[in-house]
Amino acid sequence: MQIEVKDLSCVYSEKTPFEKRALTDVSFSVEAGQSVGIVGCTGSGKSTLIQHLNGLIKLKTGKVSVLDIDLSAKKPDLRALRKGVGMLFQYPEYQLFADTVAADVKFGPQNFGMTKEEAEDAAREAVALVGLDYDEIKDRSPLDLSGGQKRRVAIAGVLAYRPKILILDEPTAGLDPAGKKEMLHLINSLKNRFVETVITVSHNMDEIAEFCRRVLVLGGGKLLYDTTPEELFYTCDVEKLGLTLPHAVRIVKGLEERGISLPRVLTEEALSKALVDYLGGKDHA
Amino acid sequence: MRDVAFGQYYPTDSFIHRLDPRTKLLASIVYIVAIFLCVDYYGYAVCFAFLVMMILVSRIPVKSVLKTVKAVLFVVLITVVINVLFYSDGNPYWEWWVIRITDAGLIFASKMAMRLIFLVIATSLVTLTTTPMNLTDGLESLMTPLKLIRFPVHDVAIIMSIALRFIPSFIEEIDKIMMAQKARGAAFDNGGLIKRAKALLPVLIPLFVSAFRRADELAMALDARCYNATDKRTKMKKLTLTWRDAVAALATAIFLAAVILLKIGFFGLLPVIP
Amino acid sequence: MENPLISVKNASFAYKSADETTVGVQDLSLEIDRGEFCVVLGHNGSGKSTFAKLLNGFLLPDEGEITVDGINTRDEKRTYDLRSKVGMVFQNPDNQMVASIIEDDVAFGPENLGVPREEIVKRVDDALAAVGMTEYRTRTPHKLSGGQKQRVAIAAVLAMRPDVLILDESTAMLDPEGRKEVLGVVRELNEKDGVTVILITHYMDEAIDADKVFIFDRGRSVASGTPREVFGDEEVLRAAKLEPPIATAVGFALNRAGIETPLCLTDEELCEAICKSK
Repeated sequence: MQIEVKDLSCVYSEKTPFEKRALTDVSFSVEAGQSVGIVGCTGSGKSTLIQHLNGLIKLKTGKVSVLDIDLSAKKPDLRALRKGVGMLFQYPEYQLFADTVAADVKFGPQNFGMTKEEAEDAAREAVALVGLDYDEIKDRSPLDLSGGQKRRVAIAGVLAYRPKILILDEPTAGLDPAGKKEMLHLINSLKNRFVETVITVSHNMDEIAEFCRRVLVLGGGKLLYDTTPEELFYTCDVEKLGLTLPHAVRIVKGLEERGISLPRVLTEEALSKALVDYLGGKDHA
Repeated sequence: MRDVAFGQYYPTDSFIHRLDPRTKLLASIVYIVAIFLCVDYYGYAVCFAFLVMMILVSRIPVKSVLKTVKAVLFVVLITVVINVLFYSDGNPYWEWWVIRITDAGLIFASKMAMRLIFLVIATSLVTLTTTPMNLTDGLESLMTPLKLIRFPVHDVAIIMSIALRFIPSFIEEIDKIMMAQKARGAAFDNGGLIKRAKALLPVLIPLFVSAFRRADELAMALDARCYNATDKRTKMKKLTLTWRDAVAALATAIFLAAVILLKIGFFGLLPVIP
Repeated sequence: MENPLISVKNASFAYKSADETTVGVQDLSLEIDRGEFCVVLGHNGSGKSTFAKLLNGFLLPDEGEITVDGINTRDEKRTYDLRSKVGMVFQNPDNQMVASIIEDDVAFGPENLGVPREEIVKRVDDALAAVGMTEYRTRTPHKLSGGQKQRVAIAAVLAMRPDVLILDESTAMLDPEGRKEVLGVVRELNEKDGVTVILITHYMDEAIDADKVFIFDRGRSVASGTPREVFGDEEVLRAAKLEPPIATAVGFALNRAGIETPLCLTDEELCEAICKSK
């Protein structure tokens, strides 16, 4: 198992009038190669959970083991952990600071012990992966770039140290539809050839339905569901948790109520295809 | 830290909490002047008595009050040590090389220490009993006469109130940026002073950039809400003086009178002491 | 025909910096009537934010004229009149709040306008009630959710009693719950109090119930009309880099496959349409 979490609990401001139970007895494990989505209302504990996975929050109750590093040990190797777990926070473009794009992208690799040459190669590769021209952009100030470019540079900065696990917190936040599409394609492409495991925290159920094979649902600090998107959206009562169903699912369910039975699809494309089959239209290119 | 309003406001109800902020600000200025007027221990005793009375009336636990002195304890200690060891007047108790411990030195050192400590406590009492918002309103009101010399009173007040408003936001942002950089392998607690300072650049630069961005957006919002539309700006909340402020003013006046009288010898009625 | 509240005639604006010139809007002409709920759709860079800033005088058009309720935006003497009529709520919920206490923030606008004290108190009460934030009036903004902060921002603008409420991508940084909150408040303000609303966004599903929709692309209005009129043209939507609602997109796909389907804006409409096709 690449990630193992057992009975993880977390309390903020313990024993003060401001005490808050952020997580209670959360247990799950993730194998290498999975793409997992984490969903839940604001305040359900999603951020707290992922921050335990790379040691940003000190483990107090429960067991967490990531990439064979046991976080309940006295002095876990946080450096190795953070090298193996790349984390991208919301609006990652706000963390850019260096004089040049190259220097910013090389920050991570150099912190994790790569030599100058290694870091340079890694930066070049990472910037290309996110769809930018390294030679054109490497000496420019990251603050001079457009919003979309900035976000890509921030992603490159995390990819440059080749993490095995990539954790993304709302990667499409604040992007317009075209931007969202590009971002999701980018993340998908990484999974297929670079990073092993991807964990995405998101509010967008359509995205989760399309890109994740497994969904963890948090509510009030507890892990409520751990299942496939299909199971989750078609059989579990997610609306009671304040989450919305993906549109494709709503349409299929709406048709079911009207007596029309369709396969349990999750995406717009699959839905279109299913409807074309059902209504007997001609195939189109 | 994030849950308490910045400036160590201690939320409780007391006579002092309910005073108009202007009264508290002016009274603290009077107190500071009074401390510097004190010459002998009589004067310091009166200052001490007044201070103790204020602390009791404010219903703030003594522990919290004394915490504010912690910040200047170092300075107080240095002052005391220097004066005890190097004060030249008076009868020496002990001498060695340049060091002279004299009776006058000990007395002077004690007075300096008291001055500093009373000063810190008095000003802290103002911030402990007044919310930052209230303080800025009070300062703005007191600065109003400066409008006559075209001093931008309201702009200064708005700057202060915006700064206060954004402090929690910046604290949160520092946290976020630090976490993002830590995730990339940055370490903030290694190495000597210089190394640590350099390590803060990945936090400070994004913070500054963000501050400028916020300022930009805020400026647009201010414009959109017609800031500076007219010189005749009104205020929803008015500061009003009550009987409490009259009582406080009277008490402060009596205190000041006592200090002044003692300074000019109190009609020769009291035995002279250092 | 009544005079339109907002009239934009051949307005052009370009952002000029030392190295380059970027087009904001080009030869833009449109009209918005009093009481309308308008949505301006466009991708980032389509000119929709420039449009918003031209409406309240932040930017002055290089060419062309813009008038709001008879006031020309070029009229410097009436800039503040204009701004009190055209209230604007921005994208970032945090960076619009000026004061540490919510009711103080809502009072800021009328205070700037020199409104008498008693009137300010009434306006603040009304504004907070209109957005449903009355019980938060003495709290600090720091602990609020994004949706709540934007509602306070709306209240702060309402306190100036504007004729028009412009929301410049005000839902872009919110989670789905926050978006619902804000849209609900805005819709109510338009329906109950007759406030003219201009909602600038890239989410097409926010335009479904609008009176009028404008699609912006490269600084121009490339389509305008009711939602039904505008959503039906797949070409225009794709060219403007907009994502139609899934129900609409599925309808397009069915039509391409030879199954005649009417234009569907919502999931329910699609379900109905498919039932009828059976």
